[in-house]
Amino acid sequence: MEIKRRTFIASSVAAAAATQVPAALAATQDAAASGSTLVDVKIDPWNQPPELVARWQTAGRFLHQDDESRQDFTRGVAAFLTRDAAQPRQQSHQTAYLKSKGVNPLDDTELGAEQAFVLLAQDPSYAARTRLARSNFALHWDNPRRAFHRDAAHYLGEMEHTDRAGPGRLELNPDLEIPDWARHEIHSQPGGYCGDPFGGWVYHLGHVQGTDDLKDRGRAVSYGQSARLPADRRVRRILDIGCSMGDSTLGLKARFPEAEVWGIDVGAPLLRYAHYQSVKAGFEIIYSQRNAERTGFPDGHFDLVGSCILFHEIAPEARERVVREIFRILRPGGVYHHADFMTPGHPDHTPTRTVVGLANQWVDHRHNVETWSPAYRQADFPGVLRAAGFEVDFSGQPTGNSRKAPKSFPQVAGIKPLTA
Amino acid sequence: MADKRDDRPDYAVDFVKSDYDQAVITDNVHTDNLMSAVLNLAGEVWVIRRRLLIAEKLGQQKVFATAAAIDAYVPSAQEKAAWEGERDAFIERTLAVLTRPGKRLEGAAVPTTRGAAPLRKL
Repeated sequence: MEIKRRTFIASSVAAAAATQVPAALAATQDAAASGSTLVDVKIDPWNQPPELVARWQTAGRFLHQDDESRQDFTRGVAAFLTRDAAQPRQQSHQTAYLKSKGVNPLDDTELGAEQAFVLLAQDPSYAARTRLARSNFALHWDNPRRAFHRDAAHYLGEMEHTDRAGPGRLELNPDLEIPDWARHEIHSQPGGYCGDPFGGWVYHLGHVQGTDDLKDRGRAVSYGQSARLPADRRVRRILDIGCSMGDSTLGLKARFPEAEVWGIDVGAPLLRYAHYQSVKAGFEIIYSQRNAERTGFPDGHFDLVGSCILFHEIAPEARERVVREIFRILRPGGVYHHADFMTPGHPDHTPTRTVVGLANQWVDHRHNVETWSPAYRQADFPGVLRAAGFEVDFSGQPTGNSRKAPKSFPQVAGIKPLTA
Repeated sequence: MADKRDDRPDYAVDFVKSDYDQAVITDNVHTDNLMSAVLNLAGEVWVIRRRLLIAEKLGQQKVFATAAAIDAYVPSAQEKAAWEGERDAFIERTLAVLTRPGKRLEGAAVPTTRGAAPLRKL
């Protein structure tokens, strides 16, 4: 197929000026074994320097106070539901209910996830809490979607302004063949990652998890900080696959400001927003619309390839293709930085077998449209890495999802052998 | 910048629609729908309440509470924390009853809980 790639070339002058990391970030300069210098910026994800926080605040925001208030409400409801479920009276009620059905809530069960959900949903309290959680989640997508579509001229204009601006650049490929598995409405985001022109805006300003949201970039910075370095400490070119709206990519660029950083995704609306916010914050990143199964990059092109909570959103039939592609485009000695839920094959993995755990997994899969998550969670992902040729290491620091959950995703690093 | 949205490329493509928005979780679709309606209404009440809080703050600053002034208002960290507390109390007051486990009051005897603490503090 002929590829017609639409490239918006950045202003190189703006790029050079704007990507300088503030001195206050105190870059740690380490001499690399090769004689070159690696700029490796150490940042505490949960206590970021004010200069960095100020850069994040340049990203998109709602035009109207009421839209901000609606999101504020959904954050409050999510926090309430978490508190409510943890209340002793609710816990003892649920225990009594399950025991009345002959189930000890702490024991492993032979029930499947759907059966566990059906059993629990007969309890009015659990059903009500789940209903409220799902309705609240629907609201927290619906509010921003309505806001962006209502003020479409403004938000489209914002993106049109930065599409061709720098630093960095945006490559969109309208002819890219997007696989069906990537067109689902993952975590019930209307239109998914491809079907809503404001998908990136909605993801960023709509996606709230309890009391934390993506605005503080804690997860992104944590992901960047937890990346393992190659043994020779050479990190000149980095790729973030499935970069979505660019949050994780910013985390990598914040840590390695002098590296050439790329973010790829199949969803053009996400990439447009990723580029928009990178331009606003002054980060030089190249965002390119590509399929991670066939990226088109040359062999051995990257020193570091990362993915942040991506693989549980990839269909099983594509999983091994993406891993093989990562292996191909990494140079010998290069590192694949994997941050996602723990799977079999990890030394600390314990499968979920309680009724409540299984029911929650079912809600996440079926009601939250985590279409591919169960298959990923049951797969031996480290084994998939080894089968592709990687050496696997679990020893580094995990990636945090929020200040309250700073170790959500275990360190899994795939190291491409020097002999490969 | 073009004014008409139809004239502008938006790069959205076909997607696979899910059925999550049709789900029934309680034992009755009407209960599900009513709970969603109550939640939506509570959200709109909070929107109005927050507008009022901002209007009051603007009034303290001798600023007219126009739509533009309200949209532009950014609460201080202190205000934000206070408003979040008010929001959480509002949600607790309006929605907590929806997850009440409840029980059937059976039999003629009037059950009582001895030793309940005096109602001095809510």
